[in-house]
Amino acid sequence: MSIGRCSSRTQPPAAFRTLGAMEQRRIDPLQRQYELLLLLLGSDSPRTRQQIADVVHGYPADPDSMRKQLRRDLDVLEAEGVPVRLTERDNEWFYEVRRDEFYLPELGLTWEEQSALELALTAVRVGEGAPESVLHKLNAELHPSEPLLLALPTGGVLPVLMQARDQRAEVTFTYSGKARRLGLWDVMFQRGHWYAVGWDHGYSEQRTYRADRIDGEARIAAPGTVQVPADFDARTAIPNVLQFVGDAPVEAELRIDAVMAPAVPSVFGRDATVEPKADGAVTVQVTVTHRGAFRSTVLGLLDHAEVLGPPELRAEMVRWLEALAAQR
Amino acid sequence: MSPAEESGLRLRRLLAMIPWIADQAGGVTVDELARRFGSDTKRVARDLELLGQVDAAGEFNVSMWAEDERWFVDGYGHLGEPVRLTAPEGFALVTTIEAILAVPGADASGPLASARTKLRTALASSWKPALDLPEPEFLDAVRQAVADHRRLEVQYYTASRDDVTSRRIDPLRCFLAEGDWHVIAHCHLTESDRDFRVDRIRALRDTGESFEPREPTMRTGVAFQPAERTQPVVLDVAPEHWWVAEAYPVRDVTRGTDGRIRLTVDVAGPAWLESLLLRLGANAWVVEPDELRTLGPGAARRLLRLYEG
Repeated sequence: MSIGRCSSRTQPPAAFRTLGAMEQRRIDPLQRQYELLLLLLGSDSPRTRQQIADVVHGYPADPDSMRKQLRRDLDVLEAEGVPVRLTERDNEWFYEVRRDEFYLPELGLTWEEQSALELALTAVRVGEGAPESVLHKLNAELHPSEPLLLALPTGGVLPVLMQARDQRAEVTFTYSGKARRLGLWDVMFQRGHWYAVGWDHGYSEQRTYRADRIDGEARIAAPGTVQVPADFDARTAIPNVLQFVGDAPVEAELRIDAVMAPAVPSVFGRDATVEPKADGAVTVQVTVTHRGAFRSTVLGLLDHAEVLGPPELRAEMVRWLEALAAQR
Repeated sequence: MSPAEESGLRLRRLLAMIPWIADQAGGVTVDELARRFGSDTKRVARDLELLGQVDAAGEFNVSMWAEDERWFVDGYGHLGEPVRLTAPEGFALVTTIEAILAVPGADASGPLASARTKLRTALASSWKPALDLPEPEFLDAVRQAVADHRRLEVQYYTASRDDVTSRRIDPLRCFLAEGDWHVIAHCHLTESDRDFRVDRIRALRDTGESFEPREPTMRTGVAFQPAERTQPVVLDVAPEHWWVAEAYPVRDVTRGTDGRIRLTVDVAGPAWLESLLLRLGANAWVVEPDELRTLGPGAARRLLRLYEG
């Protein structure tokens, strides 16, 4: 086996710099990005574009093409967690990777903590599961004999939302085809979905967005500007579907039989008033501001639920059922 | 996969591989690397050979070499230590830890909690996701029965048939998927492994019997198990009911010239279809099979009796 050793050589040979276009075509992007990373990481001071082009192989000679290629390479590095700092001085851009920001600090986990962490990574699947790279970086092993306990969904925007929350930042994104700017208060998981809640600058009110329905990317804006209200409680931030904005509020009363009575809290929410009856049934009083959602919820319970009042809500239900009953 | 994603994947693998190689005093073979880092040997060999050609100026300060088909990295150079977690990795890790600590009965001051504190410092993140995990009435009893291999007798509500049945079950695995707790158990009524939603258990009794633990025959960690017997039902729904195609596993979705959406749903039981048709109302029609065309109107007439008088 040949020995392929890469070690110290102070300057690249001139011949490497004069291969021109032929060399550029032959350079694998991985090699270029690897050299770029090593150069920035090994430098004790920030480097200019020209200094990068002088050392790293494969960049075009044309300055504008070089700038674009460098930007693409930096995007790849940043996506892989490499913290690239850019500074501008005298109309010149400088690029830097600080070693203390690049390496994972010593975690100092005890044996018990490492073991507990490995069991957690085994028991929880977030999306497709713990990325292999997390296991490698933490020097952790999964425990194949241990069962899975929790499977949670994930999504492309969630890491950005987490960063925005850490930075007390706003996030911008598109939702239902409309651009939004949200001062992010929290990110929460409830009823099988992730939500972002905060102050919507477009609507000038508190809004909640389902993370998996955000179109494309979310971007961080205005770090350090978001103040979470002192009385904000993430657990109550997501309204029950019956209380979505829509119609004038009405107090609905229902009878739920004994079979479905245990499901009342999850179906009608924590705010519903429940009164047990002797036969195991319950009467439920709940505020409704979205009548379509209310009707759908009640009909989803089949014969186990009946709208008792108010009369106009009961009449609406009857009209809906009569229309379906008359279908040919 | 786009070229940028491909580049990122290779770079990620490299940044994970180099510190690990550095940590192996006797070096590693390409086969070992491919196994550990989930890639094929050709790809790993190609990337290592490529890096062997890197023109490493002194400031690069990385030494990697191969001897007798084993690769070595000088751990004192750059890249000899693990790099920080990316944002997706950090999200997965934080969510994993917080999710375990949010499970009822978790040890809030145990080793995982102290690991969390150390990791937060390393990640420079104070984010704590608000995880609202449901706690159905019989969750503790079911999880205990799984741990102790205790046979249970349950009254269980089956949504597809709108029916409550009494069953003896041997709970094998309990897990949360997409917001609901499930228990995979051997059902003595059907003599097979079944997936039960814990929130649909209406009553529960420990029989006092135990069973021999074993691996379940069904997948764990999924919210929907394909039913053994389903019936394909073709529906026409009005355009405002497009959400059906998003909310349920449907196939053969087409849009007619009149705007109606035609789709095929695999139906596990008539009660589930009744429920769907009642919610869709007069603007949805069963196209096939013939015998189910009157299911929705029939269910509506039955429910109307609740409102008579």
